[in-house]
Amino acid sequence: MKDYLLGRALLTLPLLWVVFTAVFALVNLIPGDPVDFMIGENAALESRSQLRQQLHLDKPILLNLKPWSAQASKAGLTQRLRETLLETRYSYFFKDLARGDLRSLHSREPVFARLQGKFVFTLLLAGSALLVAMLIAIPLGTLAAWRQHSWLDSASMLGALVGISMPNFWLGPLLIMLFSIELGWLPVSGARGPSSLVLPAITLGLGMSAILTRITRASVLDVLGEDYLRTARSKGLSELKVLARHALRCAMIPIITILGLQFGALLAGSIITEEIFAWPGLGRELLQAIRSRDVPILQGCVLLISLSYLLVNTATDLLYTHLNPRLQLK
Amino acid sequence: MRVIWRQPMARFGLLLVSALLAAAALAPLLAPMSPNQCMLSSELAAISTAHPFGADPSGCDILSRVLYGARISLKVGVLVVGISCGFGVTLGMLSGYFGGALDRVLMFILECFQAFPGILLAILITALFEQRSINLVIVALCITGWNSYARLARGQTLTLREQEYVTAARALGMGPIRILTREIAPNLLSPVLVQATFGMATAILAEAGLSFLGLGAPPEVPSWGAMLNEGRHYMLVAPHISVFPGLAIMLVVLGFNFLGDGLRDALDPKNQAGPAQTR
Repeated sequence: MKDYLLGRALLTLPLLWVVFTAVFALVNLIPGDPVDFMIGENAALESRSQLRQQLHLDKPILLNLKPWSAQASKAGLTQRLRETLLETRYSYFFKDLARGDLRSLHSREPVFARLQGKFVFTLLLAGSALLVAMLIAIPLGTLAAWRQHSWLDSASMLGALVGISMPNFWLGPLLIMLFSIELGWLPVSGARGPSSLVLPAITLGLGMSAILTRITRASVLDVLGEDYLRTARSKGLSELKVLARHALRCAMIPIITILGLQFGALLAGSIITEEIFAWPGLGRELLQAIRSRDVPILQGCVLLISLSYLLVNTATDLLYTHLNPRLQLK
Repeated sequence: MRVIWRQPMARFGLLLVSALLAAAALAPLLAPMSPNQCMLSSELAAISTAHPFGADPSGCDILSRVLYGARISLKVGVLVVGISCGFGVTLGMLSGYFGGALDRVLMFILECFQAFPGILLAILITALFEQRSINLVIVALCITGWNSYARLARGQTLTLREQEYVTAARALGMGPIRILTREIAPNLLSPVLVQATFGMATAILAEAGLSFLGLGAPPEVPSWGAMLNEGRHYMLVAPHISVFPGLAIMLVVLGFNFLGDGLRDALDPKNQAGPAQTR
């Protein structure tokens, strides 16, 4: 068990390396000349060479073979090896990251200072969406399991499947048309005060609540036949107490797992929702960076989203193993 | 098939999916106009007998575009599921059956793909190219989609490999290829079929999402996601632009999800798989 936890935690390290390398590869994967991609083919030669230097595109990608050519000065072996490995785009990428020297191409702002604020907005949106999902799904799923095969059960399962199939890029505009344009209750977009958060949180949370309702129902159904529930009832506890205190509590393990896994998905999934509501988070920043071809900002966004996704997923995995004493792992 | 028909929800799913097939096949017959034959005079026209679903900002008939859009969705769904399922299942079976170094490498690759949210990866792949095309979307969704099939096939093969009939086949002198194709593959069919049905829903939703972000279909292609993207700018004056393509996406995705649920209950009752969320 301990070995498993340790192994799982250690596996995160190579994955972190993969994430960093993939983010590095973003610049080098652009077909053709990355500089053309970023500033267009008509830009002045001087700014092109500047950009080239800034992004270290004048250096080889992984290995620098220059020190080994005949014309090179006869430096020592270690010196040559150092140059081979360090005078490359790949090592400069890590150096820049470590020094926090990744800067936006257009505004020259340091990337991570700029993204900090955006990240807070994304977390706020994902957290509220999670809350919306839990508030809907946990009571609904429990009720559906409690009255299995009743109309309540069928209706909530049908609702859940409709909810999963509802694309958020349709739900969002529909909500805007109804609540902002027709009724005028809530702002159309932007982030001005808490009322701006309501529609994005519902848009993002509703799809998740659908999945969560199914999971809650399944896991409450699993425990409903257990003896300790009969004991609780025979003690004279009200049905509500039996459900909330005894059944739901034991059914929480799979629910928490799904919550964790879905929270990671929410962080990524907020990209579309943020775009619809002009919510100033990481996802919108990512799309804007794609449009303005601001590769360093794009790299920063991908790095932050993937890192938090990876960390939340690993943490959920560990928590699940920790919470479930019945789990037998090799 | 009869088992599916007996469940009302699965029956509904089958009907919705058949409607998609019919719309895709009969679009030229059903559509009142060609999807790209647009008249500026009917720009943003409201719902009328000439334009049952109204017209979009360039004066194209929305009903026609929705009908032709079924072809795009179907093409994306079939190609993405076909390619990623074929590739993933083959790799997963080989890796589960032979184990060893191959299996360890595959497991690490699968872990790497899990480190990125699928939709983010698809956005990045399409964003690397300047040209917008449906084929690029299909490639991106295959790259992000194959690993769930590989994971499923690998897990199933690991258990099937230990079954007695596989041992018996081996004792009879069957080679690994024959065992994989004759003994293991038929038993993989049901779970893979269930996953592929949900996969159709996921792929169609993902294409619409990418097109909604402007990273998918080019403007002349009548993709439902792209139509929604266009409608977003006219929410005040012409809300009907957004309603019908969105409804089409939802019904088709719902159809595949219903069908997947029904197939799972019919073929593979122990399986807990459900429709995945891609957003």
